[in-house]
Amino acid sequence: MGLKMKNIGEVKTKNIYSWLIFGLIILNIVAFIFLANKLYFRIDLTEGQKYSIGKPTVDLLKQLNDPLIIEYYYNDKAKEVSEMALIIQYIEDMLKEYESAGRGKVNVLIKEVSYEKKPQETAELEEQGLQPFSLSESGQTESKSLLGLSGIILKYKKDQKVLSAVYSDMGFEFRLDVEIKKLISSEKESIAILTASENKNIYKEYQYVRQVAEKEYSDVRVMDPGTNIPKEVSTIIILGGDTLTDYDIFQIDQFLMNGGKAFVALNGLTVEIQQQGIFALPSSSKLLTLLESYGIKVNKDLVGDNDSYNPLPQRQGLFVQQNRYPIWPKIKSTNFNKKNAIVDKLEGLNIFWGSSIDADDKIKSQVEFLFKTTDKSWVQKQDYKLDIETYKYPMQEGVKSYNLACAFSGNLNSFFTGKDVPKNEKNSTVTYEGSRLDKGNTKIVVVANEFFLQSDFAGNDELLFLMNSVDWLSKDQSLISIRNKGKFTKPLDKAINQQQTDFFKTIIIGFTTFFIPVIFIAFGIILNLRRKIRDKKLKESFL
Amino acid sequence: MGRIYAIYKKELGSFFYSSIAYVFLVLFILIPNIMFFYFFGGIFKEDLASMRRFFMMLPFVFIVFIPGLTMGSWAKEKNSGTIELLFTFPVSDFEVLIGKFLASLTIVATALVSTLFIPLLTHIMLGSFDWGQIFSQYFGALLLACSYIAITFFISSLTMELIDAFLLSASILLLLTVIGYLPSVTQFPAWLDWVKYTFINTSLSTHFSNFSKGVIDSRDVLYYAGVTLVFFYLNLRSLESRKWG
Repeated sequence: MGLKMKNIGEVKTKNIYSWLIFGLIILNIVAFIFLANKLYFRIDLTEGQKYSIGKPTVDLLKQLNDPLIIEYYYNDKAKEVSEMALIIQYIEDMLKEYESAGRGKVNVLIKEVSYEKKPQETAELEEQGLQPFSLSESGQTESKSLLGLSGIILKYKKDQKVLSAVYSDMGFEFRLDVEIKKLISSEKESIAILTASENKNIYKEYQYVRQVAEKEYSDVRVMDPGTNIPKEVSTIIILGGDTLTDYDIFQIDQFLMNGGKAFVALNGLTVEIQQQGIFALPSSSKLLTLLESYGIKVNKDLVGDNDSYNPLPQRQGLFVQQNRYPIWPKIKSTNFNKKNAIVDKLEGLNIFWGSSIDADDKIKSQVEFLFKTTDKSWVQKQDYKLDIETYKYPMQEGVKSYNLACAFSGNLNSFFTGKDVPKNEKNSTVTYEGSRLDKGNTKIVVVANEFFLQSDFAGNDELLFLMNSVDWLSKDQSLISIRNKGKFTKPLDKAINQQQTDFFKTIIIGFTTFFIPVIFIAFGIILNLRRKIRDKKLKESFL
Repeated sequence: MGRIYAIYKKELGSFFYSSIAYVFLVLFILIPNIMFFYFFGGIFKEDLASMRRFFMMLPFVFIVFIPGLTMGSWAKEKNSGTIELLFTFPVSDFEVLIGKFLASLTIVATALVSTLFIPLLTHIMLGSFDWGQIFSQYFGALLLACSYIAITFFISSLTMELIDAFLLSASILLLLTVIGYLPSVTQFPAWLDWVKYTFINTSLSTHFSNFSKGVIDSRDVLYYAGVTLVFFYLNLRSLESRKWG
């Protein structure tokens, strides 16, 4: 009896000890979680450290002379949506990296606000430029929409910049750096966009070009043929060239001679889309002649790529048929010049009715070709065929690749040496006021295609390429690598054609999904048989 | 170490000499792969070299598969009475637990490694992957599996029936996985904000998102290590409780 009582007492004491230890462990865990959240590190294993701040950002923050205040505001509803909560977490983490890289010059303030609890505060933030956005939330019965707020206010000296809505982690660092750069740089860089295509304007057909340029540059001038290039402009984007007059060509030439930089997108042929069909004629643009005088030749041809192209969709009744259309080449990642910062990180680019480009031997050492078609490409030099029917079946054999864009950097001689200043036919009141030079050091990027930047065709890749080019031209390449960090996609484009792609997909699905389970089953059967034989032998040895 | 290895070998053998390992491996490959290739906008629908969608659904896949694998870890031993025999061997509870745990982890790791053929073959034939991201995803998946196994082991130690262990484990894992999504589908009053953040930070799936992106965050690693260790401890206490009566 006494022994039993002693045992019960021991068990009770043991129970108390167990619970005490358990309690202490829980306390330790709480302390552990608290410390882990304060002292932590992140290892970004992604290619190019997409989720960490890059060296250009660190270098940018080193240029700070005064404290930079980064205020990040998000609302409670935004954090309740799991996808948005991750983005908020990502932004918080990145801002902490900014703070530590700023070495005391960057102060980060992160604050949660609420439309319901503190409407006055959110109203003030909206007045400062933060914009609410709609959050889709999947409820149990129906989907409803809520207002989300996630934006950044940057304060430096007496200036202020705002990232009005941050709801994606893609390109976040780049967007923030661009705004910081605008705040801290004393010189405001100006760029101009000159639209020179018949019936196309910057507010409709090239609206995305204007939008991306305005996002990154505080001073973007929109120009038409016949107007002077403003003195402040250091880089010009020329879209098309059909409507340029001799006076415009003279202006561009002198702009380049005076150290200006140019991005030129123009075709060697003019494509006309009419009710009767699509037609193409060799281009008579004077800009082609100017470029040719420099040694950059945009050929008056139409390039087709049998192995990598964008199919042309065509509606047939209820269905949309994807037609073979090799004259819309799709540039593969392997066909970008990996030695050039403009394109080395690009994974794809779409070209529409493009022409080929060549460089004279005299300037070859100063030219880098940026991208080309696959070696199964061909060109049409006359009687251009643009209709779908022509390309339904591969009729033309592709035997070589063609360059479609190049970057030039070096000295040039003026096309107008010894010539008079042409008259301004479009605007006689505007005359040339700049200095005239016969030689100059410049940079030019030429793409033998103007359609790829049109709103109907331009996607992220195309606009990324444009802005990388502008950065390269304006000597500021530091942000190119960060801008590319917004490019997370890696396309599956190793196969040489669609048929091979489909075949490989079938092999991969078949092997990984069906063949491996068969191997496991076979392994199981063999193991089971071996076991049975062994058991049988064992049984026999006993009998 | 030698005793842990002996238990590990015995457990692994029992998986492979019964049909559990094969059923687990075959279904683990078949079902998620079909979902990935055909239903969830997987790589071939988007034509992008990324396994992120596969790993995003992994916490949910584990909810069914891991309890299926581990439900018998203790419950079966208890039910058949072999647990008493097991503890008559000169091994400690901890060594038995680690041996069993490693055996289950080996099966899950084998299943995970066999899915590595997807990025491997796709890389060879169709397009380049970001291998740093792939490493992080598989590393995270292993840590996630450790936590799931530790939790289901503990549940199994509390029950005697396999079906009870399976249903209870799957329910708890489901709860701990979806808890992170709860704040996005439910309105919380202001005074319950702390509950909301506790839900988000406690969820097993929330901590997996960084791994699936390609980032290894010490907070996530510590979370999974912590969950695993806590449930190891609870499991040992639960095993010890058999001596209390």
